[in-house]
Amino acid sequence: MESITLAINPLLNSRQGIPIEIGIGLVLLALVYYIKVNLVSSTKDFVIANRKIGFGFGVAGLISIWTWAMAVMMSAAQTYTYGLSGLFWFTVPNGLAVILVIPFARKIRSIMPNGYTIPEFVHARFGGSKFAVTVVVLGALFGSLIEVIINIKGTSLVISNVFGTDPKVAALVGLAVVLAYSLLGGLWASVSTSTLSTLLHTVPPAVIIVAVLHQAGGADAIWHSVAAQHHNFLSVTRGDAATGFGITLALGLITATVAGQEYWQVAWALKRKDVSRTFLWAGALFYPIPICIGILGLVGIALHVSLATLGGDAAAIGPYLISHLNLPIWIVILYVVVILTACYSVIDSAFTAISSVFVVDIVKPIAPKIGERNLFVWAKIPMAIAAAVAAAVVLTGADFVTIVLTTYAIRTAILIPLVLSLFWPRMTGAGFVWGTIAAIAIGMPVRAVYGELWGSVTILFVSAIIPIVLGLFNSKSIDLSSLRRVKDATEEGAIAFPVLAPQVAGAE
Amino acid sequence: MSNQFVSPVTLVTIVIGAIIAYFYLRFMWGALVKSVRTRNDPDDGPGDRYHHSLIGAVISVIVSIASIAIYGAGPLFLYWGPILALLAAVAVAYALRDEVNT
Repeated sequence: MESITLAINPLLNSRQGIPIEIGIGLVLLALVYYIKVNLVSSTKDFVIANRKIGFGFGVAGLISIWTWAMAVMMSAAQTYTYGLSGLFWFTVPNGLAVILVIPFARKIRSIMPNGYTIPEFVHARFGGSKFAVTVVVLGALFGSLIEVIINIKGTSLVISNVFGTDPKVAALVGLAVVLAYSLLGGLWASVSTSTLSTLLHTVPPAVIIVAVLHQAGGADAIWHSVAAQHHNFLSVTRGDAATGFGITLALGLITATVAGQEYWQVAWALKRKDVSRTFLWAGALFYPIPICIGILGLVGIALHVSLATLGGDAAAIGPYLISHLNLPIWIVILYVVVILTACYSVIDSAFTAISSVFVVDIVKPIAPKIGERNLFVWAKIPMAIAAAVAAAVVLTGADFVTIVLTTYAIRTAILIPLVLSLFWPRMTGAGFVWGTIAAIAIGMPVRAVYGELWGSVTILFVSAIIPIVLGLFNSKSIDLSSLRRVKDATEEGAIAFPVLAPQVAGAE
Repeated sequence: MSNQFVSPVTLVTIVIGAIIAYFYLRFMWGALVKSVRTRNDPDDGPGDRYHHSLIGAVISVIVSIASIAIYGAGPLFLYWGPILALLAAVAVAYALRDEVNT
């Protein structure tokens, strides 16, 4: 391996990054323009794709929506840090998190077929508990906003690492590009561009990794160099990967999907018969992406790339290798395209989630008689606001991995209350609110003192025990099938949030 | 061999990838055209009766674990990742074709 010299590719320069961002944006914009003209003419088309997303678009769209900058860069980063154990703990919970949505997606489509958002469900479920709805609206908006921030940071990280472009300029251009096509097509735009992105997340990585294996000295030399380092890098059983990040990340990933507006929205947007198999195929077919790209982490170990060389950020291992292995420039650009499209597809789905929460849970309750044309305009405004807020936050330069784990910890607090709301008729609004608040109030200090794992376990425990205790003391239960009465919120004159009368347990 | 193609194995991967991409894009376009054509059709077909979720989940998790662990078995298995990625593209293309034909 000593014969491999790592040096920045002399053909790369800081003027190349921005045109690539814009170029991808123009291709996606052309696709979305076709979508806009032929498929999007109402608010319902814009925020829920008129509930007409089929199996193929559903699978491909979900894969790409779930393929964060994390899946591309962090799979290599965790492999670089912990060897195959890092890849195992990063990858396996990731696909499983999508598959675990199946029972919840199936349930919500059967009991509330005309829904749009999690807060809308919580409002209908708890008969108008404003506090519960406010908590969930804030959680949904905050969660989606964080997704935008994380992925736009991914954009700036790769553009600056590979081309040396100013990361702040790269972030702003990326946001502008995604905002432009998201404003045109909403969920249809998100799903169709994500389908194209899924092609770019599978075929190009195969080409890139085969080229990297050759350029880094060959699979034989790489494998033996890693094996010779005696840190169990080629084992999947290292305990420090599980305790270091694996278990916490697994809990957070499951929370991100089961309690994530982006995934509920897709569950409501799919054709009824395709819901279960779409989530299964998407979860299963997501796996190959990090499994393939994670090899970059092994190459980093084999070539003895130090963390200091990466500026202390293991997430930079992929961009560093690609730009320093003297690969043809088209392969470097292909890698950048893979990461940028991963970032873009998550950002556009987050924009759409923010849009639907804003329309259904904020605009409609305030102005229930708002006309379709005005509602369509209001559906786009929060996307621009979210982009502006994300730009402001990204320009401050916060740490990448810490943001991810912190967001997941907070979202964990609503996971169990939400699950109980779906399946347990005695679950109460008070249980939902106080379970969530107490979990964050107790769990976050525990996390600060005892670390990620104990913080997450505490949040889950508290958020479970309070609703269960309050529910056991509750003598009334709601007939969950009454949620079928909830009307389609974007239809003119539809009453947002009909309050459902609770029924005495056993009465149904 | 031009160094633009890096190695013979890379060139073979590019050719296979291009063939997969062609069919992927063809089926994606077909699914898009069908979505436009059927945009006003009611979704009044059968409900969600898919019964293979659990076994499908178990199989996919086992295959993913095996696919990671196998990297440790020898140098040649490092090529399993790229093969798996290409197979994933084929499977998604199949799903898009299913949408066109159903």
